[in-house]
Amino acid sequence: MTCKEIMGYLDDYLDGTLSGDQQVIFSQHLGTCKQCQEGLSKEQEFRQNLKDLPVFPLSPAFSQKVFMAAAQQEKRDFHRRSFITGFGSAIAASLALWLVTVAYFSSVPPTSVDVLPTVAISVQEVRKVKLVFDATHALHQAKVSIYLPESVELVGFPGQRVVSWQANLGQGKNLLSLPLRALQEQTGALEAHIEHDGKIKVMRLKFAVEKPGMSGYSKPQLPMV
Amino acid sequence: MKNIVIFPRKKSRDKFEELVGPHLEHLYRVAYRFCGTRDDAEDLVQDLIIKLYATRKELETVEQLRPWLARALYNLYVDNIRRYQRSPIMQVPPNEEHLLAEITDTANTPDQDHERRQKLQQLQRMFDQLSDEHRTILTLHDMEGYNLPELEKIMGIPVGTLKSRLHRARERLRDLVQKDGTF
Repeated sequence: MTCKEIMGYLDDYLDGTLSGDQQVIFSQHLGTCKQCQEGLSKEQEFRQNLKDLPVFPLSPAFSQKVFMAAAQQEKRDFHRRSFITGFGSAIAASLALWLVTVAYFSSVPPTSVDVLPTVAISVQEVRKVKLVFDATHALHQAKVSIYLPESVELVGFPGQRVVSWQANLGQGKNLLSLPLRALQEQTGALEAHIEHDGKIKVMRLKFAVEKPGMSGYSKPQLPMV
Repeated sequence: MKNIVIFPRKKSRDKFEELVGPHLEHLYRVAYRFCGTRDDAEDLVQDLIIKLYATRKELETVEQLRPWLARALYNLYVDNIRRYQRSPIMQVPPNEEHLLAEITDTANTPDQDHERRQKLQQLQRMFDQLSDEHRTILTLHDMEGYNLPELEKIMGIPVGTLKSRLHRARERLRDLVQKDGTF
């Protein structure tokens, strides 16, 4: 077998899925070929690095809290439980975010714009922006649209500059959670539009995308758990 | 007369904790790889535990709990992505509004000048750029050590499809790393 063919089987070798015969051929070649030995050790190191990617440790007493929450949750009625399950923990999260509460549709103008503080973010960094809409009454089938600048994308919607949903907003506070990834060094503005009954509420959030590490944020650098 | 000692029956919550507790860190670690942040990972695990608690009797009959739990976590993660794609808005329950005040910006973390850490940080950036599909397969197979037949059960996807997905995910990651030039 040639070195190229051998390298083609590298994943199978490391995954332990080679047949007995293939394993013998592979090992024999490796025993005599320095180049393939280097390729193997490079790949092993790469896989080890992947395993070693740090995981931010669990919050203190998470396990106590989570079991207690589960027991308490059961006492609530089903409707409420399904409602809280998707929300309760998310809101308690302490994450990088910008919390903005706006009174919604309480004013007469058909279009109103709120300009929010500028967000600094590094290229390839993911930050979650959470916006809170305070609705004066329930809004059935409101249209929620996010207009993105070229410098950021919404995680899960690669390449899309406009993302829209139909959503029901309840009376009171409604949380819009936006995981955003910075793509290129550039300033720009994201707009969140909520349209209902001929009126539009706009929230404009400016982005300053900087070189990696410039925004003062980096992935947590704590030991693995 | 003999004293009769009656031991109270073990509470069902205790039993549940005994079963699931030893797997909690593992679930969190997998969730962290899926989600990329502690908060989202804890949310995911908490949602899972709440769901499982409601059907805790069934858990006692599961033979291999860890892969079973990993499957439940994976399904919930996929459901959450779909739900988010349908609508990203959730209403804040009136009696939970006080929690909004607890939201804080915990983004700033002091830099640690260490070559390996920097390398891993770079690798993490590349890993974060992968699609959900690719991140999921690499997390479960290459990082958490599940083999393909186990993943077939966990993800409900045939081994052949998983194998080619794994291959593509590695290729994509290697490609990103190579372009980045860190390794």
